[in-house]
Amino acid sequence: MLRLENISYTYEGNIPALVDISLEIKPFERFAIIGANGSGKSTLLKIMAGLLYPPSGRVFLNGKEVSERTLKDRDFLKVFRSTVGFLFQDPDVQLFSETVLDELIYGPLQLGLTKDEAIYRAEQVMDLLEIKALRDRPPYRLSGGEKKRVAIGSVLTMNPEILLLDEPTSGLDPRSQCSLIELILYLSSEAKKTIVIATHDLSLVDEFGARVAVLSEDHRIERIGEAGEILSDERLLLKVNLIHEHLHYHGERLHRHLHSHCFLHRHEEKQ
Amino acid sequence: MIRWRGSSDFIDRTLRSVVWIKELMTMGGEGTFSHNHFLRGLRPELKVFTAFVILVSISLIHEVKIQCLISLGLFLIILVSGLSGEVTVRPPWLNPLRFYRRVLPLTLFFGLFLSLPASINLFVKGELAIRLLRLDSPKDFWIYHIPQEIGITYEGLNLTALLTLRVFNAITTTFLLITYTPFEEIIKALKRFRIPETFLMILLLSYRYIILFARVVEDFYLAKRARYMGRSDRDIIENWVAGRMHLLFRKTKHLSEEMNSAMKARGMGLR
Repeated sequence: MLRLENISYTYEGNIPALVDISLEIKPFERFAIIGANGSGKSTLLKIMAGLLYPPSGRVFLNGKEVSERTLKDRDFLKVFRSTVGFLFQDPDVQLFSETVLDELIYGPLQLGLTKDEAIYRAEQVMDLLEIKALRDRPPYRLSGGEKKRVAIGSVLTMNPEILLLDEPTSGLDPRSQCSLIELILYLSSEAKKTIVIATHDLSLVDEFGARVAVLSEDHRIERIGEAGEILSDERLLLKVNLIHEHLHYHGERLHRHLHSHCFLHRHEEKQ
Repeated sequence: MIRWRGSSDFIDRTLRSVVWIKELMTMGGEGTFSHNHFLRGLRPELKVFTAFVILVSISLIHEVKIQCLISLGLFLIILVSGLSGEVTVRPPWLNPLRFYRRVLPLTLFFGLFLSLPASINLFVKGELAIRLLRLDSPKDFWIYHIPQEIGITYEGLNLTALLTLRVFNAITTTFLLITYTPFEEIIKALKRFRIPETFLMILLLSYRYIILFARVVEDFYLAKRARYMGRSDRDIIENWVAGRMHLLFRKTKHLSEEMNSAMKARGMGLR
């Protein structure tokens, strides 16, 4: 469905962000891109969303190349934008309309739907996300969790087949995180969306149960595999700086932990 | 209250003013005033229209006396609003004195200082009220004629007073409007007056940017306060200010790029 071939990207011409990335995402798949801060996850997602154009390498959506040139074709741009939805890490950058309803109908109106059709879609999405009470509120007065829901809603009203989610759980309290993960799983299993998330939250990857691409700190793909296989490989996670060794005392005894702040909290006792 | 010496004291005051502007801009929101409050309860269209009429009148009226009458009228409105018992959360500037303490510095800067040169007979000819300097003979320089006696004229004083009063009345009217009307209601009212959507979106984005950046500046200020130990070396303060300005510019650039990407991702320009 979405294929990347030998993508490399640099910032300001010489700071590498991605080096020779190739991967393929299949229809209805759950796919996670994991890596430490600065490994290039968000850049990779933006390239998939046609927001950044790599100087080398190619991106394909359903066999058609996605590039600055092809996206100049309005028909293809329309198909592409209605197929690929992007959720930004910071909902503040994504929400710019006057009310939540305006926010939700912005995308469908851009796609050429009538106002009635757009409002119908928005009502459905508000039901799904349980944000009906926020309908006439200005987005900038919402809480972090509410903003995130509205931001997801603003993407869902465009009914994309592929959802690219950049650090979806960042900045949310545990309850909001939990309900967001449930929503993502629902969208994947019930709404049959292809979902790609970029995160360094290993517990999210564990719950998401996806195929995982691990980005190294030198901005390459270190490995692609199933979530269980990747998460059980402590050496790999240590190498890409997603877990760390942690030495400390418990009373009189010195412990060494492999520490990911989620589920890999195992004690190896050392004197 | 923290007191920094010299330039630092100025920085402190500036930062506090930015925080105050943020509070003022978010204060007209829900929960601040009950709907049966004298000004809050009025229809937003009426308030926006009245403010517009006042602003246009202010710029058209050339009589200092009438400008003074407008100032008096606005003062009475502030007095009545501040005394109203319907405020659920009373912002400190509802006290008329405090309100004017905020309005006057802006008036002094944008009104008096900028128009003060107009009172001198180098720019506005007229009958001298106060003589400042006497030259040996009149001089001609480029397009300027420098008279033998330089001083403040009655006509110049009248013009300075007029410009200062215009600025004073305009700022007071604007502050009154945004204090008692949530911004989203102002936008809705402008929409009803058939103001173009693009203009309103730019207005909304600007408003959101100001709040976002005022929050960042507030954090800078609080972070500085949190580490303030009573010493304030000029070098350190200058470095701090330069560093924060640089950071703010970078954040602005990043945010504008992200927001542009977010708009593109949601189909901006497809319609």
